[in-house]
Amino acid sequence: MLRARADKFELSESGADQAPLGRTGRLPGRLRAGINPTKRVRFGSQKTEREDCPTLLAFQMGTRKDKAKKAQRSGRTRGTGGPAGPLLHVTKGGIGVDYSVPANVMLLSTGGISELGEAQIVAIAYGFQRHAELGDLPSVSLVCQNVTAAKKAWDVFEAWQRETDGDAVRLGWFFSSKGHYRLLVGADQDRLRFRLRGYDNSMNDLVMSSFYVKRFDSISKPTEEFRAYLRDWYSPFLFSACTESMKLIGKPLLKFHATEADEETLPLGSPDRIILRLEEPPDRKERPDMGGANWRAQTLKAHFPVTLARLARENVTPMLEEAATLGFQRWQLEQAAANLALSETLSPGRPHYAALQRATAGTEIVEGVRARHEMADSSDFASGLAGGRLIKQLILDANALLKSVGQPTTSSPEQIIARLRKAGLLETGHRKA
Amino acid sequence: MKKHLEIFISSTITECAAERAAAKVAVTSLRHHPILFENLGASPHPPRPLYVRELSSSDVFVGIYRDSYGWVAPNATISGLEDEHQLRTKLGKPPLIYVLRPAPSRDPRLTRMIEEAEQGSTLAFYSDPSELQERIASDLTALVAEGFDAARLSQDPIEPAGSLPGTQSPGTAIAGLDPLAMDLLSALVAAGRELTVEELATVSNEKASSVLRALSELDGRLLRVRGNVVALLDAAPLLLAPYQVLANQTQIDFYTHRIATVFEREGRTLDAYLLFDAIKNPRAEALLARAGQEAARIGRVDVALPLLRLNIDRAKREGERDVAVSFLLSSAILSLSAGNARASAAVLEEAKTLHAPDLDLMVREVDLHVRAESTGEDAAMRELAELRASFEAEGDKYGVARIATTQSKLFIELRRFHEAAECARLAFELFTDQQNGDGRHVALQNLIAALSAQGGNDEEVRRLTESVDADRADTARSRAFRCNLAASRLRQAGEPAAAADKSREAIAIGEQLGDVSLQLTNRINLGNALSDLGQTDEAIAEYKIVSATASSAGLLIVEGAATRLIATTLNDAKRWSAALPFAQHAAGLLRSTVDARNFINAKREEADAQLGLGEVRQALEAYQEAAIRARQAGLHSKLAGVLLDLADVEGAEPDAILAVALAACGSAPAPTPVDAVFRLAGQMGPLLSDLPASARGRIARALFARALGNCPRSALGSVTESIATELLAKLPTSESSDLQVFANFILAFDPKLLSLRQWNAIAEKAAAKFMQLVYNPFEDGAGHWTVTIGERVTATVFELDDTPESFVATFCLAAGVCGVGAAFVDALGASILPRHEATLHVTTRTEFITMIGEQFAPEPGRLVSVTRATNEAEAMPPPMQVIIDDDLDLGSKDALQGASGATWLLSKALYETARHLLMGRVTESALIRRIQPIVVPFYS
Repeated sequence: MLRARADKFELSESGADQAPLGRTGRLPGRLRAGINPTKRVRFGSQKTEREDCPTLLAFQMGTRKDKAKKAQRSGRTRGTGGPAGPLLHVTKGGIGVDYSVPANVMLLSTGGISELGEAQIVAIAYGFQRHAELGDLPSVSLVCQNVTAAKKAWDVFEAWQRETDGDAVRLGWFFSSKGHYRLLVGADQDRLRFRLRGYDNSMNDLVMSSFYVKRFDSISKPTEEFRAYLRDWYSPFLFSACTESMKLIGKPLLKFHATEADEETLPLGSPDRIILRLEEPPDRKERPDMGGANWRAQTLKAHFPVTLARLARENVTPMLEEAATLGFQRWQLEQAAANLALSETLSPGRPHYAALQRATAGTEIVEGVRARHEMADSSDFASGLAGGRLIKQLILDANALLKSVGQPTTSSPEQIIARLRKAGLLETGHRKA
Repeated sequence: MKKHLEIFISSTITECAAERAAAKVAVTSLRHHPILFENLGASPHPPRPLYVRELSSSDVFVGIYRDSYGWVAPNATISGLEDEHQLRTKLGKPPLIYVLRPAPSRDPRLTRMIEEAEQGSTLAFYSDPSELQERIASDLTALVAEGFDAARLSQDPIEPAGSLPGTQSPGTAIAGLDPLAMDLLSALVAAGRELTVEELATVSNEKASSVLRALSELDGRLLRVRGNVVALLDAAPLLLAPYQVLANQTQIDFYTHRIATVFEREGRTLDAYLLFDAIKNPRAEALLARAGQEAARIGRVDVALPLLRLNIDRAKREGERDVAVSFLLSSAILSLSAGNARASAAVLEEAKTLHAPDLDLMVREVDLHVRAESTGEDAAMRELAELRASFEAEGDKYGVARIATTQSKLFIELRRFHEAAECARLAFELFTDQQNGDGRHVALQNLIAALSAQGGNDEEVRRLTESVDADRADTARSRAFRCNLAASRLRQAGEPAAAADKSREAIAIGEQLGDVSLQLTNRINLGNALSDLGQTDEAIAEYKIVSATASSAGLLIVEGAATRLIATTLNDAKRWSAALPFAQHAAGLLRSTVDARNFINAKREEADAQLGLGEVRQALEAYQEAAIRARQAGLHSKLAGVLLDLADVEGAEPDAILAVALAACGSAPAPTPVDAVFRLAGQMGPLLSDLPASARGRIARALFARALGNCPRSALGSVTESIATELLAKLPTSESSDLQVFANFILAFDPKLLSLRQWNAIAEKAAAKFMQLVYNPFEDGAGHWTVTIGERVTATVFELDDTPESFVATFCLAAGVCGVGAAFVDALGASILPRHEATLHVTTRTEFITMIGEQFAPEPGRLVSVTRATNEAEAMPPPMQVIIDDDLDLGSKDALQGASGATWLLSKALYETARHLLMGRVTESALIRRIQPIVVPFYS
């Protein structure tokens, strides 16, 4: 039971439910199935290979329809058809890869929130509850008429808490200058990412989740006091659901963070403004700039840090100078070196990914990048670039980029440089989606 | 006939160094006395009164002119060189003028001056110093031969031995002894001190060989001959008494006069003066000024102060205010050195009342010196620095050197040895440049003292000690100085008994010289040595003598320091209740002085005593005051010490400790313990940036570990993430040193208390700030770090399993490798050298056994081990394996301090990495030197 104090208890605030934004129907409240830890056996080994990790993440890549289907079957995610991941240029002589386009993963979670929408919340109660270790803590309790729905919602929330912590449920208080405020309940984005894709950050996340927003027409003193409490950096509180007779539904969640803000102060275009319907979502036909150059740099830095460092070696310098003389830029050299290094792993002894099958090359390269954790093991590097291999990979990679913007491909370095320059891609390789 | 003349040498000093040396040789070769300004010693006197006095008492003026017109003092219109020339004319001193030829770049003002000089005297020209030497010797001989001053040379106090009027030869009084032997005995009795064989030969007018023969009769019976030094045995006067050696005053006067004359000829003015004065010879009056100066220079405080007073009185009588003030200033400094600050202040007041406008600046300088040394006023120290800056701006190198010497002395007393060494070094260089032997000697001694106390400068100290002028090394003060140094070294070498002996010897010299300051300094050292020997009561007795003496002399800082040492000694003996009042009294004495270090020490002693008595709250208050003062005074190492003390306080609530730490950081009190942790995180960044590298990591770890010990387990994850974010935002730089601070913060936690998800969140934030790190976790959350430093070093640190313990160890090793790599790049400098790579694997023991087998695993219970894996490809270096115990708690105090704990573990791993990276470029010892500063602050 809630131990509410009369002067801090608020029961009568009521308002109309708002339909959860982006709600796509009820999905099972199943949570992450788990990520198998991978054993790395590298004692005495100089190679970077790892045992393949079974992909249990919920994701869809445009190049991997099978994965998308598998993900859909899991019921946890749904693909939305985003950009297709690295740009490929497949030829008989090899494959060019440009990393300016991320492999996207759609993370979708509506479990818990949809049930909460059916719980018929009629009030919000502020009070105190005892926590076994932290003692008396402020509490926020949603007073629900549909106990069954509320219980289902809390089952999901408790599962989220077990996976991460109580802050997996995001709470927000947004105050209007007109005298009302709105309570937002949803999934915390960072914890949602972790639940659904684990530690892997090699792909671009497109997170989609539901939010429950309830408006309260007046701001009581306990609400203001609770808001003041939230402003402190350390503000643990308990979040729970209860019946109209103040009987707890499920176990309270221990939370440390919640949002409190004046609606007017929310930045234009911010997700919270859209969720609260203070402004319309952007036109979905206008595809966002994916920051191609940044994504490429980020990918190379995360997965090829040793390769990039090795480019500073003196025995590589002549090859870089040769490429630079032809007009190739630093970002191109880094990308080509990374491709040659990855090719040596995926296609040993046959540079430019020559051993890969056309149909599966994209998937294998994406997987290869994901699994790549380079070792500074002093292994030979320069020979991989020698014999004209660097220039050839530069040409292949550049053609992948040219093709993606509708430019004809060519094997002439001079023409490649000219076309990239004409397309505004040469300096940074930044390609707008 | 008078045997020697006073020859005043006038020229620019630095420019004519060779000429002045030549002139000195020429003059002394004729057994006359050269008066060279640079030999008058470092003193607070401004130059003019000095050369006015010396020129007045000289017999001949020798002017040597090259190119430079000389330095024109502030508020003066002509240079000192021309001023001397004009004074010479005014005083009617016979001139010998030497002009360099050719001198195409001669200052027109000097040309004019030479032309004027030519009107009243004959000029001689020279082209090199050797020619000059011959000319001066020749001209001086001719001048004496002409009897240029018959009246002055008519006195002839030295008569041949044996012609003493009205007396019998003293030798007849002792039957059987050679008359020469009796003469020698008489001379020794009259001198009242040891004499050299050469001096005895001069006195007796005999050859040295004859003197030695005569002495051989007496050696061991009445006197002792050591080398060429002859001294009466202690019992000799008693043995000689019945024989009426030196029975009458005339005889005494005769020998005393002779010996005094010998001393004066040798330049031992003070000894000569004392003997002349003893027999009321008027020559004493002529030597008074120089004798006083010499006594002050060699630290014969007992003699110098009365002599200075005589000089002051004489100058006052004759209306020479500048001269009187000049002597008063010398007296003020000497009184201070003698340990009598009150007398010093009184003399200074007397100087002020005389109103000598030309010396106002000098009076101010001495006033600041006295105030700074006696009361420790911070303002006085600042003003002294400002005065030095003004001298620097004016190009007054002598003034700069003088103040730098004073500052070095004050800094040594304040134990600010680095600053002391800097000042002393500057003074030493300037005095050397100016060929000021005495100033150079004093500055050199201060430099040696500062460097010795600093430690780690053995080679330079040895070299400098050897360079101490041989002719100055035998003075009593120099002996005391050497005793002081030796005592310090012996203590450091763990030989307190020998150190105590040296201190006692120095104290005895101080007593002999009447130098109270010397006594006090060495008595403190004696107390320290006795304390080392466990003779607590004896040590305290010494400190009490110092405290009482300093108190009566008005030496506040010395009194405070000695009182603090009493408290320290009593605390060491766990006599808390006895220690407390001394600590409090010391703090009270020192609170308003410039000696912040000793004040902080006193407060720490007070805190120790309070803790011993179980008064935790009062102890924390004392720590707080100490920490605040340390922060305000910019004493970072002291602040570090206080904060570490604080973190170790037992029996205190963590929030109370945090409140003190926050106050020390200048932050307001926090409402809750967890809030305090958070605020501390915010304040720690700026605070730590000011602390020495060796302390930063330790403090961060100690305080956070202490603070978080009180944090509820349920809240720890959230708190940790928040604090990590805050600390990362507040750490001032993205450099390796701040990364190491952050890694120490990480070590403050028990890894098990956070999930891998939480550790990963922190790692990602750290990698976002510190660009040297690339973090790309494995899918299971295990850490994988790539460290790149300056395109020269690339290292991979990754964990083979996925436990929080391995994760934290991996993270911290990556941070450590950053430090090693930075040192590596620094060591390489701008040179182009090959790149290096290294790989470290981190795993728990269990995981290691699973993969490799138990036979290769480290012994159980050993927290970590570092090993090289075998490698199939010999061309590549094998990866380094860091194997940690499964239950390793990097945050536990025991693990961090245990010999086989994380300290050793991580240091060893870093050392091995560094070894791999650096070997071939540096020697093993150089490697250790380079790595130590990185590893020790991080993990010790």
